[in-house]
Amino acid sequence: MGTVWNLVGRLHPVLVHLPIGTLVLLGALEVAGLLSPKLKLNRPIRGVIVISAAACALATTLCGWVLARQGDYDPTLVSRHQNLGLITAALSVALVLLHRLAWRRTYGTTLVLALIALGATGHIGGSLTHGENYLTLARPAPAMTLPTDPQALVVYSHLIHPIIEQRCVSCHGPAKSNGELQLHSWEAFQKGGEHGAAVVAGDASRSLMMERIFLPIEAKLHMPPKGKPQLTDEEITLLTWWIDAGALPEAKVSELAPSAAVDNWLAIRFPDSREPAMDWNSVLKIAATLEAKVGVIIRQSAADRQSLQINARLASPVIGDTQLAELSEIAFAIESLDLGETNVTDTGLTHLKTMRNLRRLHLDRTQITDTGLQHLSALSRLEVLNLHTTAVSDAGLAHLAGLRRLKALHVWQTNVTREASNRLAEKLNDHRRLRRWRDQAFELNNKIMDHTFFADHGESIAPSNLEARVPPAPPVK
Amino acid sequence: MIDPLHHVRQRQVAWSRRTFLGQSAQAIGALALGSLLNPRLLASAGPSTDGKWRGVLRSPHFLPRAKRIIQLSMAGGPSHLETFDPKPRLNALHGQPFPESFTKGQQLAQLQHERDGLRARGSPFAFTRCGLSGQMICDLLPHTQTIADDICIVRSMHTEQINHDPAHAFMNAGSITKGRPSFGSWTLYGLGAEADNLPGYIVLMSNGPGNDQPISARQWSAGFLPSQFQGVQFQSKGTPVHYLGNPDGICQSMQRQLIDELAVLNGLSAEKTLDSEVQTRIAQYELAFKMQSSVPELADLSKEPQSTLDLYGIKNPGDGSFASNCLLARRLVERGVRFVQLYHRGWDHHSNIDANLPAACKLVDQASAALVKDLKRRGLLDDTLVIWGGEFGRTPMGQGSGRDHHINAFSIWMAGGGIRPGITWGSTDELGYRYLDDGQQMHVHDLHATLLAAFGIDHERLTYRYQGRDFRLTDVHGKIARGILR
Repeated sequence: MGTVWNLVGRLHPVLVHLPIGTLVLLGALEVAGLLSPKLKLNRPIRGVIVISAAACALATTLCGWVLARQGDYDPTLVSRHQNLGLITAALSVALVLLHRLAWRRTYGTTLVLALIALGATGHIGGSLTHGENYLTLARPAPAMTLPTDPQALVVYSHLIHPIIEQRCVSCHGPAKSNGELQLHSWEAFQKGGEHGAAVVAGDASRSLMMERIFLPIEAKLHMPPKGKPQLTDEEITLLTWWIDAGALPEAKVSELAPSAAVDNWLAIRFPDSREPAMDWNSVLKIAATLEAKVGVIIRQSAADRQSLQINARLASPVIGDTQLAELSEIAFAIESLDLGETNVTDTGLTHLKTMRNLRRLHLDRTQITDTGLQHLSALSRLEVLNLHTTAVSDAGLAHLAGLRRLKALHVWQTNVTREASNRLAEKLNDHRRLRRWRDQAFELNNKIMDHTFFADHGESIAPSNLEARVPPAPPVK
Repeated sequence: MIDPLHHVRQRQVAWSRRTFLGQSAQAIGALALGSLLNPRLLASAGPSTDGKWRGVLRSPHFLPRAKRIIQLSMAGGPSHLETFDPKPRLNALHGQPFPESFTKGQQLAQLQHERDGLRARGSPFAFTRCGLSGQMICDLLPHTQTIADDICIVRSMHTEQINHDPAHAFMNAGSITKGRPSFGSWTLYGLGAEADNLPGYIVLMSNGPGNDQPISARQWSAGFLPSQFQGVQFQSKGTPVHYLGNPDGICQSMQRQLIDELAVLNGLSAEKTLDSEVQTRIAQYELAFKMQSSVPELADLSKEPQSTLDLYGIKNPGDGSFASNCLLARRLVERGVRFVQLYHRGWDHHSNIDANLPAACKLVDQASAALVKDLKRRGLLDDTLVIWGGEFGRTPMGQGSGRDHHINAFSIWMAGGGIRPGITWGSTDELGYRYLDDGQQMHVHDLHATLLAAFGIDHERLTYRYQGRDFRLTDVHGKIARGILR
């Protein structure tokens, strides 16, 4: 019986459009009849419309009454909606009677009243499903004051909360809290819902929220439900990154070490206002001129990325500090720069300071020394640094201690000692995070062992060989 | 003295109004068609070019992790059971009849006629867990054991071709049909080469001790792609390219003039005939001219320090050995060559495998490992992908004193260029007969799809229209092994 009632309740959002349509149509026809005698409704037709409006209103009200008893809606809003709905239905039934009695004037007034009640009911109904601020949200959001440096964005309030606001709060908010879960504020978010916390800080893969998001869209529990606007890949990446990094409310982008994908997204969404505003096509044009003029090879990293890879190693004529200076115009777009075997010196490396997005840098077999490395200390995104066969030594490594994302450093044939590189590794490796991952891996491995099925056949290979088995033969020869 | 442009001038004089109009229309048509076929002609939005082929994709589909590839092709088919896939159960079964449940209904090349039926053949060689990753590598490869943490071993390779030549073709082009482009040609077509003074796809060959199966030049063919993308075989002994020097009395500036005039003449012919092969010829003349200086510099191994030669185990630089070729391969990728393919023959161990396999291993082990180490310390391994492996594996059943060809399982390793190091991918059944369907199986098409992905290429989107159909390297197959990419 429960399922039938469930179905009746769920019909409400469908049926609700019928009385709206019929009543509004009736109003429109009556107004048209007042304006032009040609369009005047004749009595039998008015009768049909009035009766169907009343029937639809009654059916809708009945379903609505059932639904109100099932959903997790804001009780005040629901009772208001219910009362207004009952008034609308009553007025519609009254219209039928007045029509029968042909009390023209009262009929007209009642119709106007019914339409007003209908509008109010509809509005509150809309607030129930789409959230109270649905209408106002459609207007462009008041500009948030964002920090100029994208690295200083507060991850939760500037990036995560807007996503949740847009995708989740209509069902998990103050108006409607399905599964007793509310996500509209940080305090509510922390509370979680009837199945517990929405997120496990530091582990997106075990977070209920991400679990639901990652379920196939056909799945009953997939979120947002099928038919509602879905999360984009970027939004999922952002959520995963934020949860994995500890789901902290105050942390800034720079503190959570964004992955390459997140970085790419940030760069497109929140262009660094310190960088010259330039559209990608003009960057490519400048790159093309530079390529011809300077003689380096410049390539767009990938069709889906707005960044450049520059190879000066294979360039002719030979590249030096002056040629490197020419690249400053597009410095912010450079992702990978190969200056190996070129004539760059420590002075030339000052031009690298503005290459904030640099991930890979080759300076092998150049004349650079420890002094030049100080210009690299601001390259916070650097992942690979090649210094082999140069004069750098332990003193130079001190400048690299702040490069949190450095993963590979090539110091073959330099004066860098193992002690110095070990010290750097100590600084750069986030041991807390590594340890947490190791613990998780251990736990997962145990889980796999606990759940794996084994069929033990003893030593046999195949049944046909049971008799043929003899002790292992000695190795051949 | 004869004016080299004599014929051209004559033609110019002889042009009537009608021929002029006709030729112009053809030329416009040629230009339009040329720009359709050749994106560099319309290159205006992106970084511009100097006439060099920049690839049909201009930029990869997604962020590439590999820019260059060195394939150490172990021709003949190394036994996976004695290199990277230890099978204790097979050893235990040594000399016993091979379980029929494995082989029933299967095609076996020459073993069908074994006199006393199929017998299991164990491996007499021990395996060791190596490095932090604990990968199992046979003791016949002591140097490879030292790079265990840098390589990804794939044990679930399988192919469709059981004979050497077609199996090589399948490994290169994903098809045994003649006229299909090889992997190197596809990457060159898609991405172009970084170097403009060396071919983008170079093949080197070395031999094992015995009489080995020949390698046909069709293996590095560009197939239906324009022939400028085909592999160029360098001689591994002596000078890599013959006849590079100028004849007496000809200096480089005269040579330059000659090439320029030839380009004009060929250009006229290209406009007339609309044949892309003429464009190839123009490009090849230009390249050959540049190679007159680049190749001697490349082949000059005298500047390589003794320590490097010792690392590779090179006794006599430029002697055509596998080790010398490995060093040459490193020098080639350093100079911007996109694809270097080293064929080393000597793995076809049908008989006396217990003596011949260790000898074969000894010839390649040190240099293969040295190549990875050398690339790594130079920071090149980050975007250079090294592959080591044959065209198929060998049977867990004995064939006299050796093993036969086997397509259901073989092992390769890969290093660098976005391949996750220190992992073993895929596995075979307990006797090493067949790969397991555990989601990590790696068909040759899957390998191609994965390698292209490392290059930032979506294997479903790099196509070439030929005879009315869009062809791709993986045909209608190929599943990217995401687990081995990082």
